[in-house]
Amino acid sequence: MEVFIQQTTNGLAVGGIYALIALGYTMVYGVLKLINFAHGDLFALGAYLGFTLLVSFGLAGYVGMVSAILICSLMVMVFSGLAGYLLERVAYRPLRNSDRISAVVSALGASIFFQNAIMLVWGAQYRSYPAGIIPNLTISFAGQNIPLIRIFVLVASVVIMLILYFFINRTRIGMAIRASAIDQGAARLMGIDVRSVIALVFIIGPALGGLAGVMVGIYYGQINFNMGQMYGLKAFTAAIIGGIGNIPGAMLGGLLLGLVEAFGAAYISLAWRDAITFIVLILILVVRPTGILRERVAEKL
Amino acid sequence: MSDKTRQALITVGVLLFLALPGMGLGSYWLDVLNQVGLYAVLSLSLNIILGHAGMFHMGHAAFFAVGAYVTAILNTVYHVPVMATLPLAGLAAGVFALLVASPIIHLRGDYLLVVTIGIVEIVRIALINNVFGLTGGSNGIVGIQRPDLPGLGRLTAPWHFFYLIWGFVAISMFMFEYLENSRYGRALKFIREDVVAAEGVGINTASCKLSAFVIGAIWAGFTGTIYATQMRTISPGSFSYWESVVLFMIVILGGRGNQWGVLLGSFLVIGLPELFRGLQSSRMLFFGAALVVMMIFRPQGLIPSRNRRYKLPQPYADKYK
Amino acid sequence: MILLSISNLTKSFGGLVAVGGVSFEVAEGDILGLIGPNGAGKTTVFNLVTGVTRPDSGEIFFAQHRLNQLKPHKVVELGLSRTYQTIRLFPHMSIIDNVLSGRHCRMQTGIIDSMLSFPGKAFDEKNAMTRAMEELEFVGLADRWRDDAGGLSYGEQRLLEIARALATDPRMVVLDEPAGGMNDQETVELRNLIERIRMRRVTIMLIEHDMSFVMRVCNQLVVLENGIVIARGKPEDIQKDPKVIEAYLGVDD
Repeated sequence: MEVFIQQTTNGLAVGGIYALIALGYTMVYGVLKLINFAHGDLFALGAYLGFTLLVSFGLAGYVGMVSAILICSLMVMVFSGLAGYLLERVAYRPLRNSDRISAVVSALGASIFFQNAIMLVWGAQYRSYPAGIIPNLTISFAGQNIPLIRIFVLVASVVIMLILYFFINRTRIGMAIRASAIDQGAARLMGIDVRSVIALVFIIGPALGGLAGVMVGIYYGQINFNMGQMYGLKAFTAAIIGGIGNIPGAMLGGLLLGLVEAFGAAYISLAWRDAITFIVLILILVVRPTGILRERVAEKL
Repeated sequence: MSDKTRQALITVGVLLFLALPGMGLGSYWLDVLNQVGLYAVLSLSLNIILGHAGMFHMGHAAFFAVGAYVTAILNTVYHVPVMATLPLAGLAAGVFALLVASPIIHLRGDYLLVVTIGIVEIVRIALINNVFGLTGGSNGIVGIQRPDLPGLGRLTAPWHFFYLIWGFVAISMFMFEYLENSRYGRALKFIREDVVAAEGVGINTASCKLSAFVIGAIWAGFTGTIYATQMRTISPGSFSYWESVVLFMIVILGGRGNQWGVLLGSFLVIGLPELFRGLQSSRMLFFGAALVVMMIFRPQGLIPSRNRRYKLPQPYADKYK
Repeated sequence: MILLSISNLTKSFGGLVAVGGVSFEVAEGDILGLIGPNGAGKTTVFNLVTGVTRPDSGEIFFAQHRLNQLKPHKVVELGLSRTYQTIRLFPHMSIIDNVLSGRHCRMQTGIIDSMLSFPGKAFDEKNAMTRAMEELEFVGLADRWRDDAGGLSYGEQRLLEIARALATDPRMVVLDEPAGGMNDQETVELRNLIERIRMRRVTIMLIEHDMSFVMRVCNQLVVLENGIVIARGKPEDIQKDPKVIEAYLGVDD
């Protein structure tokens, strides 16, 4: 029981982070039918920007810890969103009318570029976030002591997802995004500026991804230049689980994957944790490529 | 440039290249060339899958790893002579490819890419976790023997390996060239162009795709043997996602579907950074950006693949000049 | 002799019935026209017969072989090949390469033979090329064998698709709107070509909207409406059939 509750909360917290990153994949895929391979690296960029603000800049020394986290998160979201926008302008927009293959390779090139840029700027070694950003307290739940930080990460990601959900479903801009995802041509005919919608998802997605980067830094305390690759693959798996292109699906998929991983690590083997994720990814693509809902991915013959 | 002059130039170039060890090239540069050669064979074999058949395979390092580990285990544990493990390494990699590729080859390009990345990662994690108690965990396997070639004795010096590796490159290029100019090579190109149309004109696309995977994997397995015996030590770190990325990049930058392009790509991606040692750490930054730029301005690669040229049989050769 | 027999064929897409219990036969030597208003299910029937889509129920037999669960390449191997309504050539490859694609299933060389370049391979290739050139001469594109298929005019691309289908040594070809996008001159030549295909003892089934074309070319017609056969028979009888007239007057065609 103890392991179960600890792993459930841990899995949900990590899953929340996966979900935030997965949203970026799924939104871009929804509108462009393109896997943004560089998305994981924008997430890593967010983690490093947060590191710079909190550690190198010592933001907390000026404004106190709580405001520091808020300001840091906002700034990281702005910068990551900007990076996403530039990525779209430079690496994807010129290829809008090329074949799929070119777009995929370009995305891959951008991913390699970002990952190495981060390594050159911040170094190849692990970097540590300051300890005790969230007070090192525990909360008692079902007879177990749950670290406060876990609750914080989970709540933060759920709140952000809810905000996004309402934004997508209740606002005009959100409607434009959904319409563009269903049929770009029709959306254009209805007077929706699809170009701006594309730019917008390339801002929102990386902004959420960057924020997830900061949350990883806070949660685990350590970040590394190639973390984007592993987290990216896992978040992508989450998006696939939920059915890529499907926003609530990505949220659900993230939480589910977090749980699967936590239990896999606890009850099967810690050393095989990452492999379990990839096996899930392969199984879903082979057996049920639509994910929980929607979007068929197998080539029709 | 006529075909004759072109052929003459290529011959002179190849001969000069083969004479390099005799012309006082230091062992450091020979080692660099050996590395270029190994990447060249790997990329040429990936080219069959990615270049000809157009399947986005990012897991080639996994097949390479299977070959290298089969050789290392057979040699260090069972004392099988290294060169005798070569066919087994190829076979093992081929069987492995058959098993992992058959459920996934129907996936669309970008999904195949993600799945093959997943396969490389699973293999790497399995190696680190000392699967079957044979792979030596994250330290890998040490003490692999040098190869003995019948009649030539033991290969030890870099120039020995230079001829072994580049000889292998040459044989591979010939065989792949023959393959490309066969009904089967043509079928792969049809699949790349339009898989539905290819199936519709009577090509068993699933089996062709799978064979491409298996042939590519067998060659990667062979290369694994040569790599293991040249390095004498192998560890999971040498078979990471990044190795697959490098191979992928070589094929795309050089020119998918064109062997000379792939060869050029190997020299550029592996050899060129050695000339600018100071920039070593930023080479991937450069190549990442190069991929983006390339896709925008020259998506077909530096030396694009060309349509096959035919010599018509009579009476058509005279009729339609 | 009956070459192709279709009985009670049904197929729905997400609840929408595209083909609802279609039965008809094509006899050897027939030129059968499958006609009907847009959305009647003609192309779906073609796709079912050629293995592109799987039927929900019903039977398809071609020369004593059950086609129901076969993949498209198997259907071609059995001697049934096709062209597409939306042309599906390999546009970036040469014209002769396109025709050679049809020869693939009749060639012998295996993978290992080709990698080692055994002599049989050259023989196999030479034969294939001869056959490909024969087909190109048959449709009148032989002098352009080197060019990219994508550079051909619309009508020429349709001819190339026919050459490619014929290169598979079919007993029957199914042509999906062969005259689509052709000018009058080309349509006349196409009529002539179809007659020449029939003289090669290849059975033909085709979909076509151009009624005067269908009436002149076909010896049998099957009329589909909303996924069911409403009439079948000789062109002159079909023309008088009140159900057919109603179906065609009911739509703006």
